[in-house]
Amino acid sequence: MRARRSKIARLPEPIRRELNQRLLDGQQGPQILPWLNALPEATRVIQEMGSAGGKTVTAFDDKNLSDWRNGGFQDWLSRRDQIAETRELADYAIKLAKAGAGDISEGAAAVLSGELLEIFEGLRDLRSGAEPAQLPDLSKAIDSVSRALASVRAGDHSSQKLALERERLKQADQSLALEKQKFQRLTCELFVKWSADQRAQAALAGSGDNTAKIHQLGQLIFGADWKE
Amino acid sequence: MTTEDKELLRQAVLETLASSYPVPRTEAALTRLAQRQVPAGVLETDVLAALHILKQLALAEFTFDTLGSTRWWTATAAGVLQIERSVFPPPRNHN
Repeated sequence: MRARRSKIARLPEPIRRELNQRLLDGQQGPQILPWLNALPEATRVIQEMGSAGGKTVTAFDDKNLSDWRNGGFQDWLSRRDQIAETRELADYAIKLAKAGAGDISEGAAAVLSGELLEIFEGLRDLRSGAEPAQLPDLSKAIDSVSRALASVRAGDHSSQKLALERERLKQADQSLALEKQKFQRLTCELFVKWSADQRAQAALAGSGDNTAKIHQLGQLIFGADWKE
Repeated sequence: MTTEDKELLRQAVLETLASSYPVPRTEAALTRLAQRQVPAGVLETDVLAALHILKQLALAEFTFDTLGSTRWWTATAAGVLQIERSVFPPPRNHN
């Protein structure tokens, strides 16, 4: 990206964007210039350049457009390509991070994909013959990815262990709840059965306290299994 | 850096963040990439200053590495939209 100082470069960004899009659509001077020169922003740029330079500045013409086509428009096109390419690499880095590290947290996947993108960009730049000073330290980046993967995997194992432990506790809770239900049902069944039994009725009607009555009933119902 | 260089740097940094969204970037990586795009010599402190302005404008944000202090920067949704609209404008009505 270079700072451009041409007449068109002085126009506001939304207008330059519109102009670039028109050029990309294949429009030529006869279509573009009347539109451009009719804009109040274009008039303002012409006035400002005229008053600053002390000379007459004319409306936007074919030469301005041609200069822009070879300069600012080319910058815009290469920005487009670069952005599209980085997007593809970023998408690939995300997919690879998720596939390589399994079920990892969003944060860990993001950092890992950032490290991977560094490597991809480094390899791309290396292939395109970039200056060594402009390249990332690839061995360092690969080392970072290895460490990130190892740490992610360690974290992943811990979270798997935690998930297993959680599942085990959940199952224990469920089986406790089942036991409780079973116990309640059994108690009710015993009550129904033994409330009609005359020996049980006699034990309950006896003169002893509750402890003695429970003991008598226990022996009656459970026999030798009854333990106080 | 001149004011114009700073503007260019902010634009370049936001473009990098938006193009790699949602993959985060470190300040070191952003500096290296910005050094190719901005004519003035760019230092990591310049990039950091640009990032903080982008953050104040809610165009960029960062998170820390889980086990370290490295800041990982990403563009926000607003930042991505700003770049997409400047480079990939929606189709115009040709009527």
